[in-house]
Amino acid sequence: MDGGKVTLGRTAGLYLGAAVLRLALFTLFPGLADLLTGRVEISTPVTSFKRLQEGLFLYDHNVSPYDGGVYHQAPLFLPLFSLLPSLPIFTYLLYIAVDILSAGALLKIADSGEAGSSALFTSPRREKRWSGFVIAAVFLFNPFTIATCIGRSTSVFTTCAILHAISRAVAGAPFSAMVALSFAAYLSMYPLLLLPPLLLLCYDRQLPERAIKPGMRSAATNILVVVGVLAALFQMSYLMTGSWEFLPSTYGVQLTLSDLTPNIGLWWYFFIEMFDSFRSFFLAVFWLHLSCYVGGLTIRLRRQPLVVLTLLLGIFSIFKPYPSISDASLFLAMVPLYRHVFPLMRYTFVIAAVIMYTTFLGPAFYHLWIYAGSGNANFFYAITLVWGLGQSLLVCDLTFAVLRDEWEVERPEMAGKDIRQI
Amino acid sequence: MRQLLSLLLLSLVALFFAPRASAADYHEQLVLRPLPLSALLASFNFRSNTTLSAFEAHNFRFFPRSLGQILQHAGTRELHLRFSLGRWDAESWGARPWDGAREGGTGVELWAWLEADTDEEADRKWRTLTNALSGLFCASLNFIDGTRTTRPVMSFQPEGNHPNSAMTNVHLLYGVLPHEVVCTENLTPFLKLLPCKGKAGIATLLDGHKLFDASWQSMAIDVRPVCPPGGECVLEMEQTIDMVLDIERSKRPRGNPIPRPPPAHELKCDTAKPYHSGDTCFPADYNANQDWSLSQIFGKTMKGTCPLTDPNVPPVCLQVPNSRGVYITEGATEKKNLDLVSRCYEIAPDTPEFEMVLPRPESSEESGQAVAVQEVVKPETPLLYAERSFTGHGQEHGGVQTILRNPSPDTKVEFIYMETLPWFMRIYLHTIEARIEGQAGSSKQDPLIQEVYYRPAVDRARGTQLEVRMRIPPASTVFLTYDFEKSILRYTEYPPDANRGFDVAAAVITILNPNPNATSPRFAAYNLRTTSLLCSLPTPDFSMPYNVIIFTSTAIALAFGGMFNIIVRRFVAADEGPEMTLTAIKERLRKRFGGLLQKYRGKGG
Amino acid sequence: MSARRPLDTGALGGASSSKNTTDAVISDNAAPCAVADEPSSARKQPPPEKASDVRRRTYVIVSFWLIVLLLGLPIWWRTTTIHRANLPLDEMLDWADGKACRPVFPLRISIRANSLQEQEAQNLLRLTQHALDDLNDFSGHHLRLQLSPPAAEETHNGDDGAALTIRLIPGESTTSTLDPYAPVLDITYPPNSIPSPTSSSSSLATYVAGQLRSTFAEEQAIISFLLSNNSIPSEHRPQGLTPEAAESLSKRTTRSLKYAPTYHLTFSLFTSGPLPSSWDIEAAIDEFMKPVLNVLTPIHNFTIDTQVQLYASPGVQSQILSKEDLSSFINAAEWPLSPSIGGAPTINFIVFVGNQTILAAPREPPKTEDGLSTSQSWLVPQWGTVYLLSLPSDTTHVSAATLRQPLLTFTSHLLSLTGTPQSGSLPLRLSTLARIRSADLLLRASSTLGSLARLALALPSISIPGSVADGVSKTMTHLRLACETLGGPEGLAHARIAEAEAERAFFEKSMVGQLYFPDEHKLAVYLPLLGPVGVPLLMGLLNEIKAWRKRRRERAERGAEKKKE
Repeated sequence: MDGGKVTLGRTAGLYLGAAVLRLALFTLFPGLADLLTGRVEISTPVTSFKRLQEGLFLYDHNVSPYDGGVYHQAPLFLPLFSLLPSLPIFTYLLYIAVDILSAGALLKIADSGEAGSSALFTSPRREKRWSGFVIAAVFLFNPFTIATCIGRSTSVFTTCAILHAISRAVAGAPFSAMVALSFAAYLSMYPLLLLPPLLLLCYDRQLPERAIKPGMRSAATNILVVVGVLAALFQMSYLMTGSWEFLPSTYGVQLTLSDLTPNIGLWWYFFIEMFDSFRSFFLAVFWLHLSCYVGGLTIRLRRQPLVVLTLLLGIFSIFKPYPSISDASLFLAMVPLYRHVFPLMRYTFVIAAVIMYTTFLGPAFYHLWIYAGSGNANFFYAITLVWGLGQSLLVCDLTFAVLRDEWEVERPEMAGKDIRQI
Repeated sequence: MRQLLSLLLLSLVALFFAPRASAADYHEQLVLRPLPLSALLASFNFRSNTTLSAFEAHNFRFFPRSLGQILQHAGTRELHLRFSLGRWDAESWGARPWDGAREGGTGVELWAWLEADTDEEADRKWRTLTNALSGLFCASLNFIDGTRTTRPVMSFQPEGNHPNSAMTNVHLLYGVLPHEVVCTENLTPFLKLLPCKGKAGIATLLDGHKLFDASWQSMAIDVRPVCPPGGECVLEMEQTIDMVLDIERSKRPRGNPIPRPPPAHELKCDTAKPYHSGDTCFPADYNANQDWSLSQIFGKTMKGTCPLTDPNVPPVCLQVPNSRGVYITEGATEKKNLDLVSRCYEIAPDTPEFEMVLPRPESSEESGQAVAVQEVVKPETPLLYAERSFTGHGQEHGGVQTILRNPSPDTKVEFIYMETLPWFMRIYLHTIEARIEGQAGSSKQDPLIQEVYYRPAVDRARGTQLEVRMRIPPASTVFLTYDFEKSILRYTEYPPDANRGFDVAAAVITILNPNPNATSPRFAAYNLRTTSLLCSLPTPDFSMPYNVIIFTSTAIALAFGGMFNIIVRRFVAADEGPEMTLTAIKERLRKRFGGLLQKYRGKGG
Repeated sequence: MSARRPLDTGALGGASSSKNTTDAVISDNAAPCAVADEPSSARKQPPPEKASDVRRRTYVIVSFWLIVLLLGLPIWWRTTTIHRANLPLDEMLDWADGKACRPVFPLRISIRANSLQEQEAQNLLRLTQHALDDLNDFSGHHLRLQLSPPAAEETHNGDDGAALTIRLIPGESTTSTLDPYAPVLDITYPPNSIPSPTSSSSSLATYVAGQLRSTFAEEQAIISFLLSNNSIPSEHRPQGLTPEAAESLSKRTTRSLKYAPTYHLTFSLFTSGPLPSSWDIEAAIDEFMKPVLNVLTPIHNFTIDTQVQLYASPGVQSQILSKEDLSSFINAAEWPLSPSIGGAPTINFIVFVGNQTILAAPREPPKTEDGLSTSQSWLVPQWGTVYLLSLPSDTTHVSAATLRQPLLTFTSHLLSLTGTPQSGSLPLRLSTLARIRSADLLLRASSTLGSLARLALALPSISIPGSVADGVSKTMTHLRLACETLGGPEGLAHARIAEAEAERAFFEKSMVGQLYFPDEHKLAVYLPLLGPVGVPLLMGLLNEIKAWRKRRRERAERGAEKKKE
C-alpha cells in the first residue's frame, strides 16, 4: 500500500519511459502506425482507426457515417476527433495519454491490495505480490499494449474506461465507477456484462466512514446511475447525428456480425461457413455463451469480486464477436494482480508456450493466406483456434488457482497436497 | 408560279402517300472508316420513328411491338441499353465514334428514365423493366438488383425532349453487369427489332461470328421522345452497332484460321529503321492490309437495300481520302463529299447485291509513313485519355488508380467521373486524392476535384456510388487514387468460380459540353468508359462448413466444460471420496455385471 | 471353456470343473460385498461440506439453468420455427370435393300470353312446367316458368332477371322463332290448342317445353360436362351425357382459352417480302370488330395492339398447305409474337400476306360444325387465328375494305376462343357464356383451394405466410357468395374474384422459396456445440438433484430419531 508514496518518482519515470517509447515508435517509423492499423489482429471493424478516419471524413462532409457499411463505432468519437487538431502528432499524444491513464488506474487497483485480501476473504499467500509499479510496467511494456496503441485502435478507450471503473470501485467511489462503466458500455457494449461483479465490488469497498447502505438499495442506485448515464450518452449521440440509425450500425453489427472481416476470435469463420437458416440461432447461442458465465462466476466467487471481473475480461477477450489483442492485453494486465496464486496454477508453461506460438505464427499464416496465396483460410483459422484454446486454458487455470486458494483457507492442512474435484 | 406548281405537286405527292406514314420514319446507314494498324471501324446505325399517338394506341409499324410493350408496361420515358465487348484503343484509333455517346462499358449497361411517384414504385418498375428486357435480349439483365442499381446525380441527362411537366416525377436508374459476356444470342433479338430483320439492307452484313470476333464492339439501343420544332412528337428508336475489325484477322482464310508467319518475300518491312537489312525486318504497320472488300471482312456481301429506308440517306459511306480509288458493283453510284475524306454510295433499289473493294494503294510498297497519311484518314485525338487499374497486392487492402490525360495544348477539360462499385469493395473516401503528374498536390485556387457526390455502400443492400466532377488543366496528366478494403463474404455469396475474382464495372467519364447551344445541344461533349477490373477477394475453404462447425464448437465446449466443472465441483484431497481410477471403474463394472457373468459361467459349468 | 471340455482327459476335466464350481460359489455370495466395502476401507471420507457451500453450488447451477431455460429455449424457438399460418384445411377440401357448394342454375322463364285469360295461362304454365320437369334429368340446371304481368308489354325483353321471355301469339299453326336481338322466343299457336282447365296434358305445353329444352340443351350439356369433369360427388352428377357429345364438348373446351377478365388482342400483318408495309387496321377494327367486343364487355375487357412484320418467312415453305402443315405454319422462332407482359392472356390474329392456300381435303367432310377452318383461315386452339390473304405483289398498303373478310373471321373465332356456345341467338349465347364461365371459375377456384390444402398437408415444413391465409379466407367468402348468386351477373363477379385470390394464394413466392432441412442435417449442425455443452450442465443438475434427495432423506431420518428420543 505505502509503496505508492515512496515510489512516486519511479512511477513518473515509468510513465515517461512508456510515453517516450511510444512517441519514438510513432515518429521514427512513420510507416509503422499505418501498417499496424491495417493488421486484423489489432484493429477490428468496430475499433479500426482507418474506419474511424473514414467516418470522420464523412461526418465533416455532412454525409451520415452510419448510412454505410464502413463505420461501426460510437458517435461521440466523431466530435472528439474532429475537435482534435489535424496534425497526427496530437492523435499520437491522445493515445499515449489514454494508455498512461489506464496504467495509473491499474496501479491504483494493484496498490489497493484488493486482489489479495477483499472484504470477505483474505488469502494466506497475499504477502507474495507485485507492487503496482511492476504491474503497471508489465501493462505499459506489454508488446500487445504497445501494438494496440501504435495501431490507434479505439478499443484503448474502452480499456481505459473499464480500468477506471474498477479502480474507482476499489477506491470506494461507486458513482464515478458506474459512470466509467457506462462509458465503456457505450463505447463497445459488452462491458455492460461487468455490472454485477462491479456492483458487488462497490458494495464491498464502501468507505467505512459512509453509512453502510443495505445491499439492495446501493445496487439499485448504482444501476439507476448506469441507466441514466447511458440514456444521456444516447441522447447526445442522437442530437449529434440527428437520427437513431447509429444504433443498428454500431451495436447491431456486434449483435449480428454482418461484417465478417477476419480477426483473432472464433466467430468470423464460423459464421462465414454457417448455413443461413441457422445463422440467427447460433448468433444467439454465442451471445448467450458469452454472458452465461457472469452469474455463475459472480455467485461462486462472491468473496472476491475483483477476480470475477478479471476472469470475465479474460472470457470476453476470447469469445467476443470482434476480439483483438487489445482485449488480451487488458486481461494480461489484470492477471499479474494474482501473483500470489501463481504457484497454484498447473499449466503455466503450456499457456506461455501456446501464447508465444500463436503470437508468432498468426501473422505468418495470415500472410500465407492473404498475400502469398500459398495457404488458405484454414491456416489462420487454425491459429485463432489455438489462441482461443490457450487463453481459455489460462482463464480456467486462474480460476482453479483462486478457488484452491480459497479452499485452503478452510482446510489449511491441504496446502501443497495434490487434490481433485468431485 | 413555279413555287405554286411545286406546292401543288407536293400536295399531290402527300395525297398519294397519305395512307403510308412519311418515308423518313426509318433509315439506316453504314459508315466504314479504316483505322491505323490495319483496323476497320464499321458503325451501323438504324433509326426508326413512331408518332407518340400511334405508340399510345399500340399501333406498331417500324417500332418493334415487343420492345414497345415493355416500355409502356414499365412506364419508361427514355431507355439506353448497351452491350459491349473488348477495348477501344484510343492511343492508336483516336476519338470514339459518335463521341462515345453510343457505347457502354464491358458487359451490359442499362439506364432509363422511369415515370413513378415514389422511389419504391420506381424500383418496382425498374425490376419489371430489367426482367422483361432480359427475356427479350437473352441477357441476364434480371441480375441487376438493388446492389447493382444506382441513381446517378450528375453524370446523365435525358437526351430526348421531354415536357418539363413530365420530368417532375421521373426517376433515373442506372444498372450495369460487367460480368455479362455479350454473344450471338444477344445479336439475334437485336436484329429482330429491325423492320427489315436481317433480310435486306446493311443489316445483312451483320454476322455473329464476325461481330464477336472484333477487337472492340458495342451494340446500343436508345429510345427517346423527339419533338421536332413545329412537328408532331415522335418516339425515336436508334439501334447502333460499332465494331472495330482487325482486317488481317478477318481476311484470314476460313480454311486454316491458325495464324502463320508470312513468308519472307511477303513481309512488308519498315525500311526507315536503321537496322533494316536483308535478315532483319521491322514490320511496317501503317500500310499493312489497307486493301479489303466487304465480302472479305464481313464474310458476305450486302443483299440489296431495305425498301423502307429513307431514300435521302445513302446506306453506305466510306471515310478514306478522295485520292484512293474504290471499286463498287454497278447499280451503285458514288458521291464524294466536300470534306475530301468521305464518300457515300447510293444503291438502286433493285440491286441484288452490293460489293465494295478497296485495292491496295499504289506505290505504298516502299517506305510506309509518307504514303500512310494519304491512305487512311488521320484519326482525330480525343478530348481525354483515361485508364484505370488496381494498385497494391494481396487480398486484403487495395487501391484504384485512374490516369487521366488531357492532350489538348490549350483548353482545360471538365468532366464527371462516375464509379459504381460492388458493396464488398469498402472504399475509403478520405484517401481519395488527385494530383497532377510532376506536382505534389492539387493547387488550392483551382482544385482538380470540383465536386464529389458519394453514396456509401451498405452491406448486402446497395453498392457504392461515387461521382466526381473534375477539371484538368491543358496538356497535363492527373492521377486519381483511392484505397479500398476487400471484405470476405459468406460462403454462399461466392460465385462458383470464386477464385476468378469479381468484375468491377467500368468507370463512366462524361466530358461536359462547355457551351451547349443549337449546334451541339447535348450536355455531354464526349463520353468514354474505362476498362472493367477484376477484383479478387479472400475466399474461405468451401469444403469445410461441417469441419468448422465441429472445430469451433469443440473449442467453445472445452472452455465451457472446464470452467463449469471448476466452479461447480467440490475440492477434496486426492485420497478422499470415491475413487476415480481405472481399478475403481473396473470394480464398479464387476459389481454391476459380475452377477450376470457368473450366471453365464454357472450355466457353462 | 465348455468348448475346450472334450479335449481334456478325465482327471483334468474333473479338476477344471471343480475349479469352476468353487469360484462360481465365491463370486455368487462373496464378490458383491467385497467389491462394495473394499475401497471405502482404503480411502477416508472427505469432511462434510459446509451448508453455505452446498447452497452456493445450487445457486451456481440454477443460474446456468435459468439462462438456458429463460433465454436459450425461447430464442431457439423463435429462430428455428417455420411460420405456418393456420388454414381451414377441412373447409378447403370440402370445397374441392364439391361438398360445400351444390351448383344449381335456377333459370326463370317468363311467359307473356297477353291473349289468354289468367287461369288459362296459369293452367298452361302448370302443364308446361310438368312437361319440363318430366323432360329434365339434370337437377343442377332447371327452368322455372313464371307468368309475366301483361303490364310489362312494351319492355318486351325479359327484364326482371328472366333468362328468356316466351311470347305466346295466337296464330294458325304452332311455330317458334328466336328473336336475334333479344332473349325472346316467339311461339304462335292455333286457338284450339289451348288446354282446357281440366285436361292433364296439352300438345302446346309439350311443344313449348320441347322448344325450351332444345334452346337450353347446349348450355345444360356444357355445364353438366364441366361438373362431370370436376370431382363433384355423383349424386349431383348429371346423367345422360352421351360420350360423343362429351367428346365434342371437351374438344371445344380445350380449344377455348382459360377464362381471364381481360384478353389482349394482337393483330399482326406478316408479309413474306418487303410489301405491303402498312394497313388500315384501326379503321377495320372499329368497323367490323368493335360491336362484338362491346357486347362482350360485361364478361371480358379487351386491349388491342397491332404490328407489321416484313420479311417473315413461314415455318412451311410449300405453296399448298395440307392439314398437318397448318400446325407448323407459324414460325415461332422468327416471328415476334411474344405474349403481352401485362399478365392478360394474348389472342393472336395474324393476317399473312402470301400466295399460300390451304388444301381442302375432299374426302373428309368440310368442318362446318363451326366454320373454324376455311380455305383461307384456321384457328389455333387457345392461341388465335391465321388468315391467309393473297394480294397483288405490288400493293404497298392494305385498305380497310380488304381487311373486312379477315376481321369477320377473327370475330367469329374470337367468340369460340372465349368459349361462347354456338347455338341460339347472340344475346342468349352471351348470357349462357356468363353462366358457363361462372360455373367454370367456381369449380377451378375450389379445386385450387383443394390442391393448396393438400400441399399444406403434404409438406409439414413449408412456411405458410399470413398473406396466403387471408387470400384463402377471401376466396372462400367470395366462393360462398358466388355459390348463392350463381347464374346471375354478380355471381360471375364473385367467382372471378375468388378464382384470382385462389391463384394468388397458391402461387405465393415465399412459400416456394422455403428450403427444407432434413432432421439429420439439423442434428449435424446442432450436436457439435449443444452436445458437449449440454452434458456437463445435465450432469451437474442430476448430481444436484441426487444430493438434494439424499439431504432430505437424512433430514427425515434425523427427525425420526429425534422423535424416538
